[in-house]
Formats: sequence, structure tokens, C-alpha cells
Amino acid sequence: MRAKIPNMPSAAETDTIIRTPKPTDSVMNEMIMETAPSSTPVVIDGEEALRQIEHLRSDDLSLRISAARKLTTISAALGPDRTREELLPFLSDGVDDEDEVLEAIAASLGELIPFVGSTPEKNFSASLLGPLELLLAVEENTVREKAAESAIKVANSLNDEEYRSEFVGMIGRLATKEWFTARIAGCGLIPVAFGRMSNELQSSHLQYFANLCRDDAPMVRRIASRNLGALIYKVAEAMGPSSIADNGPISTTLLDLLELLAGGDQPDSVRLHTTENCVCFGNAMTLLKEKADPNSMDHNEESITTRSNALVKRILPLVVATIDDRSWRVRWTAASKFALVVKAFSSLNDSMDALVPAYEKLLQDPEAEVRTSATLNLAEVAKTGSKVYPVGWLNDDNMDCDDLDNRITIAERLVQRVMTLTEDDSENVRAALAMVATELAPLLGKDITISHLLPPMLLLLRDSTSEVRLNIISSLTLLNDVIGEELLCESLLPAILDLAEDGKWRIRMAVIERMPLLAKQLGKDFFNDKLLELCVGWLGDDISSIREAAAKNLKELTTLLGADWAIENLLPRVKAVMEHPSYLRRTNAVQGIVYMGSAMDVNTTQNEVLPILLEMACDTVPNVRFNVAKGLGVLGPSFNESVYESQITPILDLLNDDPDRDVRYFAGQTGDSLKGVFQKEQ
Amino acid sequence: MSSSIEGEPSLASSSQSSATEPSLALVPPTSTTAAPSSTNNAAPETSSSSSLDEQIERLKRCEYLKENEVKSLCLRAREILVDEGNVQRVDAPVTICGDIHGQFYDLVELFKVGGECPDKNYLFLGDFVDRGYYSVETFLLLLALKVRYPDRITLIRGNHESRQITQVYGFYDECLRKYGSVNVWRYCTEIFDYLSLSAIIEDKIFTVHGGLSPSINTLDQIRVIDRKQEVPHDGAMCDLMWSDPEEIDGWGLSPRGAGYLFGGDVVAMFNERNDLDLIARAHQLVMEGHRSMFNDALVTVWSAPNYCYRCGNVASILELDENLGKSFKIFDAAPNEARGVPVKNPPPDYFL
Amino acid sequence: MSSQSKAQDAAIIHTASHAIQAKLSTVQHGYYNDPFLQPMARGIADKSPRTLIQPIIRRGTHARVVAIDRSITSFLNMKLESKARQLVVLGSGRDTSYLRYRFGHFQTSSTADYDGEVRWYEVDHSSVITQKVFDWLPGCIPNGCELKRNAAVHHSDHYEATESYVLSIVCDKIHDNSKDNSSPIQQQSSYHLIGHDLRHPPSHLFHLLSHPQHGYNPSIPTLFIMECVFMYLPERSTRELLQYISHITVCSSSSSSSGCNKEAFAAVVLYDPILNNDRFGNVMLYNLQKAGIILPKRQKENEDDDDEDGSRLSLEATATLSCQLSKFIECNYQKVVVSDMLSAYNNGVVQSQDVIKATQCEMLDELEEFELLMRHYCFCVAVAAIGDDSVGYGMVEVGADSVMGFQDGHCITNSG
Repeated sequence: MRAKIPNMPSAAETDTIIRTPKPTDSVMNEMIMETAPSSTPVVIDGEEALRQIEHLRSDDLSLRISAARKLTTISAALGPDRTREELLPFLSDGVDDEDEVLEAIAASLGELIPFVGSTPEKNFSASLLGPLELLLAVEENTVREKAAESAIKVANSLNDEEYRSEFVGMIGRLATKEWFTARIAGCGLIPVAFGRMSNELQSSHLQYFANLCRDDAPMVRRIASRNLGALIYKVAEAMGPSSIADNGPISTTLLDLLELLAGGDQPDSVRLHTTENCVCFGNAMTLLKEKADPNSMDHNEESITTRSNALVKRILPLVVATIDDRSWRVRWTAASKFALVVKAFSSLNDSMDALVPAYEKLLQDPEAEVRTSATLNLAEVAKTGSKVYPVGWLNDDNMDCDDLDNRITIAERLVQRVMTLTEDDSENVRAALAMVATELAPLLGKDITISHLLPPMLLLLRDSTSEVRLNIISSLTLLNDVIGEELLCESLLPAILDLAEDGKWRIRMAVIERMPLLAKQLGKDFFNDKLLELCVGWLGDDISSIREAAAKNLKELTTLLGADWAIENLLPRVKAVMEHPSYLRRTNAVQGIVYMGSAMDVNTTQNEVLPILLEMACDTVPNVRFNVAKGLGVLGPSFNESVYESQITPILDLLNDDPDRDVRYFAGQTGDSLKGVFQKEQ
Repeated sequence: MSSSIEGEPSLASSSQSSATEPSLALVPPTSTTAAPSSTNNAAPETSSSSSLDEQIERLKRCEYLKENEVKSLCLRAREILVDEGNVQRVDAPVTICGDIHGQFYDLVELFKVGGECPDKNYLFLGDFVDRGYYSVETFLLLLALKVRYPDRITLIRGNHESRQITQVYGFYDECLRKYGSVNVWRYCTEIFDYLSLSAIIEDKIFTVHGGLSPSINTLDQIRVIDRKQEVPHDGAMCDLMWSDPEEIDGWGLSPRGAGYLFGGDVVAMFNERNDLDLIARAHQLVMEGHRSMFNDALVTVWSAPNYCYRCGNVASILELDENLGKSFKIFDAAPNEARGVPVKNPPPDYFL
Repeated sequence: MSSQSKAQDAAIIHTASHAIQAKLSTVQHGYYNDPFLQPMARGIADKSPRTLIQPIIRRGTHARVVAIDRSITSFLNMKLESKARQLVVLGSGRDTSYLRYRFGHFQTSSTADYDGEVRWYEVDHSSVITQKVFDWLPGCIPNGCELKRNAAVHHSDHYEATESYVLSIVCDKIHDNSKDNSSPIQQQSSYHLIGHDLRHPPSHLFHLLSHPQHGYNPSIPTLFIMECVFMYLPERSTRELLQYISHITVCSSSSSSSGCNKEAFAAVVLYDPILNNDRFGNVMLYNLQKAGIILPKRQKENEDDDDEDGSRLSLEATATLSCQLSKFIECNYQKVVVSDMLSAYNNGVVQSQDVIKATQCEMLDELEEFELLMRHYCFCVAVAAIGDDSVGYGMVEVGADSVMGFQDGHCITNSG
């Protein structure tokens, strides 16, 4: 099928060209010379190029794909003229190939910019737009995406004039093509190019975009909807305050489109983008305000504020409508992006009085997925600095009253919803709440935290689902910092004890990992009273990973609570485990004591830990013995030479004669490494 | 298919060897390893334990070894396995594991539950390969551990450690897919022939992949089998790998098409005659991970959780302490986040 | 339609390729014979890389083919006054049953008896039907025979236009198993392929079926075959379809004034997975979602669908054998027999000579898994008819004389 293109250079022709490089192609040839590794550089690269050209025409799909990825090799060999005159037309003729090939071509074309040549008078990169325009119209989405990326790369290499005539011209053609996939490509490119368009082109392309938003094909409207927000932002960026003047494009055209595409008669896949478009709109308004120069024209800034506020009044109902949308996917999108919505509108007066109640509605959505998503945004929404009226305040009577004294922070308002969320049927909602709710504490301050946030948090600590309890335990630091640990300790304990015996070992593991943190937060006494037994108990867990984590944990605890504490509290218990009838426990106990020793001062290790460790060298099970050998390798270097010679060496000698080869091996390893350490010292 | 295998290099000699010929005893391993390698002069083929440690680390990350690394690993494994008996003696304490079937990440989970080798001792009852997506990585990891710590881990042969079966159930295709040739499959299947047929723990617990055979009454009868061959279609060696216990009297025909069904009376007599306490075997999917039969005279251990990514079962391992005290550890399939980078594996098969 | 649900449609349609690959492998291993599979699988083998069909899938596929075939044979062999029969294969994909029937592969008392009086309908997505007519079927036609087709395009106010075809396979006498005198006209009316999306209302389907070209008549005994079709459909669609079938059958037999109406009945044969609310079922659901064949709720297109329960897939909503049983009863089927495929395999529906044949073909290592898998598929036969003595109930008899091989204690029925 590849053979049908007549003007594609044949292998023989190319071969000759490569072997006798023309002086005019010097730049290219130098490149080939430089990159080629051996003494016959041109021929080697040329052969590769020839092979790739053959492959482009192969019947084997995988060969065509790999060749399509190496268009630069081919172009380098052909030189710029033949690349433009033969390769590009060849590629243009091949747009009926398999999608994978087209995708590779689309991506490669963006890399060809240096290979199509340029003279001081003329830059030929625009010639790449030819095949790209065709690829931008094919049916497969991924091909179009790659082609768009490449087209944008090409466009960025053009001067303004070429940019407008070639790139923007192409966009105009795509946006008005009969086949809908081309129009889809147009939707995506108009916002990209808007900034560099002339005024005239801007208005014509805004019109194209408006038409696309009213396209018959819902697929086109969906993509137009997806790109509308970006376009609004670009328009604001490019045109500044004039974009929101009474006759500006945002006020006239774009807001209409936003309303149109948010309309209930659109398919939900079109409405789905309303939330994001509103975020973009909010960002655009913020941008205009920031850009307005407060020094030069005060009245101008004020008029921007006035105008943008007027526009916001039109937008807010659209945002609020997504909350009540009949499609749960639209509501879910709104819920998952609501923190962005709130941020985008936070600098705009009064918008929170509409948005926060809307958000509260999402927290009560009938779909658990929506509630989960909304709950995950709880802290982010609350962090917005603006104030809102308390629930029930805003009604027609005091609508005009702008008494800031009556307003409260968003956190203060939202904390009232937390209790309800702790009773949610869905464990995912509760787990999300447990993850984020404590972030409200610093926003609320101590008093409100104690009165409003603590009670629901205590409920979560007793939740029936282990993930919920784990999340809340992990996020308690913030709560502690605000209210102090005393209030929490008593409620915390049952939750921890429960999780410590959870049937899923990964939950137990997560608890162990949090132990050092808890020890730090709750203090030594509380730890000794309540958690010590747990930490030691895990050394006897059924699951090896838990026992290992428990052993490692001993090191953390020793570091945190001190060697003396460890000797007094941990060591006796670990010693008891070392007498356990099963080697499974004893090996982990040996590892644990080594971990402890590595966190102590040398003297304590030497006096308290080393004798116990050495004793285990006589265990009946080889696995225990070679763990002693390994442990000596860890602790050994910190001792002085006399300890090394009088205590460690004899045991290592013993282990070196062990009947078990692994014991001998590890004893030998340790012996060698310690020899290295102590010989150096001499 | 067989023609494509013929003429490929084998472990025994780089030029010619038939797949089933137990030629390794005749050709000293050094003759192959000493052959100058044109591609890899730098690394000596007999890797030291440190390069083996490095290979084990790679395998634990589910990266498979290079073809020449597999070759030298298999050569070293052969030296170790050739000295093992058909009834390999194993000391307690040891942890007994059943079928793994290429479920690499679940094997990693098994080690998390039971402890890493060499810290803990292991006895695997065969069926390392086939069915799962990672037979290559699974078998090579176990084999590398075997070579590195021969006294800490024992591998015995299952009915899937066979040229014929691996061509039906996936290992052959996996090797071809991952290496572009079947050489690695050849190396591995040659090693299969050297795997022991059974093990005995402290003279009291007999372990085997499948079960008993009507032609075997005593362990000594197993000891005299010439095991270095492809699993035959019938006879004692086949039965050890294929048979199943069943609530019947005496012997029955196996619905699998190989091996036999054997009843509690058969087990009682075998244990009595050989002075055994227990037979531990694998081979059969048990939804609960393990099952005891015949008044605890026999136990089935199954170690492939959510078998074939389809069955929804839990898995287990049997920990024996130094006094032969038994304790089963049940575990689930590794969660998705423990499965590394998601790869596009074909979905499990259903009737659609 | 969004690209996502489009992709899912493609995945569902692709399951037909999967089914034929499994059948092909089964035939290649000698389980049964079907010369039409290879040509019908056109375009599959070379496109997808070597897929490994495992023995467990072959054995189960064999069981499925044998069970469905038995229902077809039993239906055709029923002793009724009229020889007229209709068979409707829903979600037919690359099904070859018609070809096997047409060329005498079914052990009917005599194929010729039914010629011209058996109408065979296949229903699937328009795109599948078109491919079948133009790409797949032509290669299945033996030398000396010719495939003739008549096409019709149906426009609808509500749905995309669909195509349907009337096909006939005309053969030299030597190649034709059917006896002489079979007039071309009769032949022409025998094989119908209808493009229809089963998620659309059944009234639309039956509107197409009753088109003069296709001539479906609800007062003629009809066998509906649904192999792994309901699982992908919303529960509501499957119930509407079942109700519609029972409704038009009963209406036609009670309203018709001619004497033959007491023979009118519809038998539905259903082969579908059942999740059984257990771990295997949960994993199956998860795997099918991961494979993109069914969508998890989070991604489901909510095409203005507020009926959460009805929009659940039948796979999830009808999760057990007893759910299947009650669904048929609730959809007004008088007699229903349901059985899981393991019982069907071990106790009668799959005949012992077929079980023996399978064991001879290859050994099966994964016995426990086979049993597990087979327990998660159901085989149901339901009959809608009027009165207590409809001849149609013959299809659902249980016991030693059961034409389908249903045995007491190994299936569930609604009649005690």
C-alpha cells in the first residue's frame, strides 16, 4: 500500500545523494558528520535513512511506525529542499494510514523545524503545517492531539506575519471544515493563537468559535465547551480591560456562550465543563484587576471592578446551577473543583454568599461520590479568606446590608456541617472527612475548635471503619497544636488500641509507623502507660513485616525517649521475646535489639545490649545465629578495640566454625568489615 | 512448535542437545562456562555472591535477568540441585508454601507475611510458573535464592515444571515475549528436570506437589526414581505431581487426566508404613488457603491468592517451628499499590 | 454518544471476537466441529497477537456450545402441528448457528422438513450486522453456493438509522443438503440479520422484525437465544425485552381466531454470568470493569438517567440463580428452569458423550477453577405461553424425559 506515491525518492536516488553530498547542504551534512560515530559517517547515516524510507513504505505496520518516529533521520539525509518537496507531500498523501503511524508522524513533524531549511528571507517551517493540517482533521483523537502539539511548535517558530497568514489561516480553515473532527481541532487552537492575532483576525476567530459553540454536532460543542474558559482568559489577557467593556467580547459574545453551553438542553458532556469555565472566568477577572494600574487611573480601576462585578452576577447562577444539575457527573465535577471555584472568585465581593451555600449543598448531595469529592475540598474552601453571612442571615430584608460585623469566616460556617458528615452512610465520605477536617482547627482557633470541631473528631476516632480511624489519627497533629494533647489523649487511646489489632496487617503497619509521632505528641508518661505494651506486642505479631516494623520502631522509640528509658522499659520485654519457642520471633527480636543498640551511646550499648546479643550466638537455629553475626557488623564499629578483641572476635570465631554455611558466610562478612575498621584505627 | 525449539542452545552445550537428554552429568559445567564469550568478557560467567545479590535485588523489583545471566544462574543451580535427593531432607524450622504460578507480586506479599529469605527458611512445593503474568521473574527469583542460600530454601517440582505443560499454560509464551527467543525457556525447563520430587522434614512430614502413587509404598521407592527427565504421562513420578486426595476408599481415577485420586485409608497406610505424621501437599486450589483431610493426616497448602487474578481466594503458608508446631498464615493478594508500575497485562479470561 | 461510551461499545462488540477465538481454539483441539468458524473469524487472528486460550476456557466454551445447540435441536425437533419455527439470536456477533443449521450440522429429524418454514433472525449492533453480511459471511459460503442479499434501511425518529438484511444461500443441488423442490422464495425468507441496539426499546426491535421483508410472526413458536448479552445491558432493558416477548406471545395466542394459536409460545434460552455475591463474582466484576467491558459507576455516562436501579447492569442486578428465576417469573414466563453451568455440565444438559469427548481432547489441570468458573454461569430456559398445557412447556420439562436434560435436584424451577 505504501508504494502508491510516485514522487517519493527511491532508495537508489537517495543513495547517490547521500554519497555525494552537495556543498549547499553543508549545514545538514555537518550535522550528520558530527553525530555519526565512525570514519564513514555519511554513509552510515545515509544507510539508516534509506532503511527508514523503505520502512515508511513497508507493509509491516511496526516498521512504518518506527520509521515515522525517525523522520528527522530521513530529513537530515534528504536535505531541506527534498524534505519540503518530496517527504512532506509524501506524508500528506499517507493520512489514510493506521492511527499509530499517523500519531508517530504527527509527533515527528514538530521535530522537523530545523530540517526544512530557512534563508534570511524565508523561513520554511510553515511548510510543515501542510501535512499537520490534514492530521488535525483525522478521526483519531490522539493523532489530532499530537498534531496540535507539533503545529503549535511550528507556529512558535514563525514571525508574526507568517504566524497570522499560515497558522491562524489554517485554524480558520479547520474551524469551518465540513468534517467535524477538523472543527474539533479548531476549537482547541483558537485560544492558543488568539494572543498573536490581529484585531481583525481576533474578531473573525471569535465568530468562528461562537459558531463552534453552536455546532450541530454535540462532540464539537463538547470540545468548544472544554476550551471556552481558556479562550476567555486569553481574551482578557490579550485585550485587557476593553474585553469587559460594554461592547467588549467577553461581555457580549463569550458570556453568552458560557450561558449557552451551561444550558440544561445541552448534553451533560457539554455541561460538564461549566465549572472549569467559570473558574477560568474568575481567574480572568482577577487578572484584569491585578493588571489595572492603581496609580494612573483610579477611576479606571473602579470601573473595572464595577463591570466585572456585573459580569460575576451573571456567572454565579451558572456555578450554582451545576450544584443542582440532574447529571451526577456534572455535580461531581463541580464538587471536585470547588476549591478552585472559591479561589477564583475570592477577590470578588459577595460571591461567597452564593458559593458557600452552594458548596454546602454539594456536601449533602444524594451521590456518595459527589459528597466524597466535596468533602475532600472542605479545608481548601475554608481557607479562603473571605467572610460570609451565617446560615439563615441572608434574606431579602437585609440584602443590602453590608455589615461586616455580622459576617463570619467560611471555616466558622462550614464547621457546622462537620457533625453531619461524621454520620454519613458512605465510609469514603467519612474517610475523606477524617483526612481533612483537622485542617479547620488553625482557622477556627482554640475555642471554636473545642466547641465545634473536637466532638465530631472524637466520633471519627470511634468510627466503624478502620481507614477512617487511621486517617484521623494521622491528621491529629493540627488538632493537637491548637487545643493541646490532654483533651485528646483519652479518646485517642481506644481508637489506637483498636487499630493495633486490626485484621488487615497493612492497617497495623500504618499504626506502627505513626507510633513515634504519637509518642512525641503525647509524651513519655502517656506512652509508658498506654502504648508501650502495644509496641512490644507487635514483636510477636503473626505477620513478619509487622514484627520487622516493630523491631525498627524500637530504634525510633529509643532515639525519642532515651537510652535509659529503653533499657528500663523495652529491653526486658525484648529479652522475653528472645526466649520464645519459635525462631520466627527470636530472629526479629535479635534485629530489634540491634536497632535499639544503634540508637544508644556506646557505653550503654556495650553494657546492656552487646551481652544479650552475644548470648544469642548459641541459638539452636542458624537463622538466629547469622542474624547475630549481621548485628555485630552493625554495632561493632562503635565499640573500642578491646571490646572488639575480647568480646566480639571470640564469638565471630565461633560462628566462623559453625556447621551452617550461611552462618559462616555472614560471620565472615562481619569479620572482614570489622577488621577493616579496627585495622585502620591502629 | 517443537521444531522451533530444536537447535536452540541449551544449558548442556551451546551447540546441540536434545531437550530431555540428561546430558549435564556428562558435560562438566566448566566446559560451557569457560568458553570464551564474545559479548561479555568483562563479567565472569561464574558470578560471585555479590553479583548474585545484585541479581536478587533486581528480581525483587520484578526486573528480569539478561539471557546470559539466566544461563549462568541455571548452570549454578544445576550443580546444587543435582546433589539433592528425590526425597530431599529438610530441617525444621521451615515454612511450607504451595503453588505460586507466576504471581510475582503475591510472592512478594508472601515474603512480607512469612519473612524474607534467608532470615526465614522456605520449602516451596512446586508450580512456580504458568498462569500468572510473571513466571520468568517468579521462577528466577526463587532459583536465585536457591543458588544463593541452598540451605535456606528448598524447591521441589510441580506438574507445571514441565516442557509440555508450560507450552499450554503460558510460561513458554512469556519467555518468548520477554526475551524474543525460547532460550530462557530451554534453560529453565532443563533445570526443572533437576528439581527434587519431594521433601521430608525431620523424618516426620512428607511433602510433595500432588500426592501419592499406587506404585509407591515407601519413600525408598521414590528415592530410586530417575528423576532427571520430562514429567512422564504416567507412573510414579507423574503421580507424585498430579494426584489428589479425595474422600474415597483406596484409589480412584483422576478427572484431571493424569495421576490418581487417593483416599484416607491410603494416606493412613502410607504414613504408618513410613513412620510419618503428616503429608503436606499443594496442587489444588483451596478458597480458604489451606485444608486438612483424613483427621489431619494430610494438608493442602495453596499460596496463590486470587488465583489467576480471577478466583477471589485467599492464600496461606504453613509455618513449622523447631518442634514441628504448625501455624498457618493466611494472606490476600497484594494490593494494587504494591504491584509496582501498572503494566498492560491481558485481562483474565471469561466466557464472553 | 461520548467517546467513552463509544469505546465501551467497541469493547462489548469486541467480546464477540473473543468468543469466536475461544470457539476456534475449542474446535482446533477437536472438541467439536464447525467449519464456519475459521472464515467467520476473518480479521481477528492476524490482528491480535497470539492469545493463549487455556484449556479451562475451551472446556467451558464447549459446554456452552453444546448446551445452546441442544436447545436449538430440541426446539426444532418438537412435535408440533405446524412446522413453522422462528429462531431469534440476540447479540449474535459472529455466531455460526444458522450456517451449521443450513448445512445440516444439527441433528434435526430432517432439516428439509423445516425449509422455508424456519425463519432465523440475528440481531446485533448495526455495525456488526453490516460487517457480518459483507465481510464475514461471504467467506463462509461453500463452493457451489451463492449468498444473495436484500438490504433495507430503517429510519427512525428517535434512533440512528439501522440496516437489516434478508439473506439466502442458494446452492447447486449437489451441495445442498436440503431436499429438492425448495422454492427460491421460501429460501429467501429464511435468514434475517437485523441491526438494532438492544438498549433501545424492544418495540423498535419488533417493529423491525415484523417488517414485511422479515415477516416475524408472534403466533409462531419462537426460540430466543441470548448468549452473554444481558450482562452488558441495563437491567431495565433486559426486563423490558423479556416482558415484551412474553407479552406479544401471549397476546397473539389469545387474540388470534385461528385454531393453531395454542401452539404459540416463546422459549427464551439464556446463558450469562452470575456473580453470586461472592469473592469470585466480585473479582469478575472488577476485572470486567478493568478491561473496559463494563464501566464502573464513577465513569458511567449518565444520559439523563435518574433510575439508578434500572440503569444498573443486568450482570450486577441479576446476580444469582434465584434472581434469574424470579426475573423471568416477574416478566410473565409461566415455566422457568435455571441451572448453573456446573450442574448443567455434570448432570444432564451437557450429555455424557460430550463430557467424555472433552476429557479425551486434552487433560484439564485446573479442575477446581473450572468448577468455580462454571458455577458462575447460568443456563436458563423460560417459556411464555397461554394455558397450563401449552406444547411449549416441553422445552422446560425436568426429569428423565427432559428434552433439555434438566435433572431433578440439579436445577431450580418455578413449579415446585
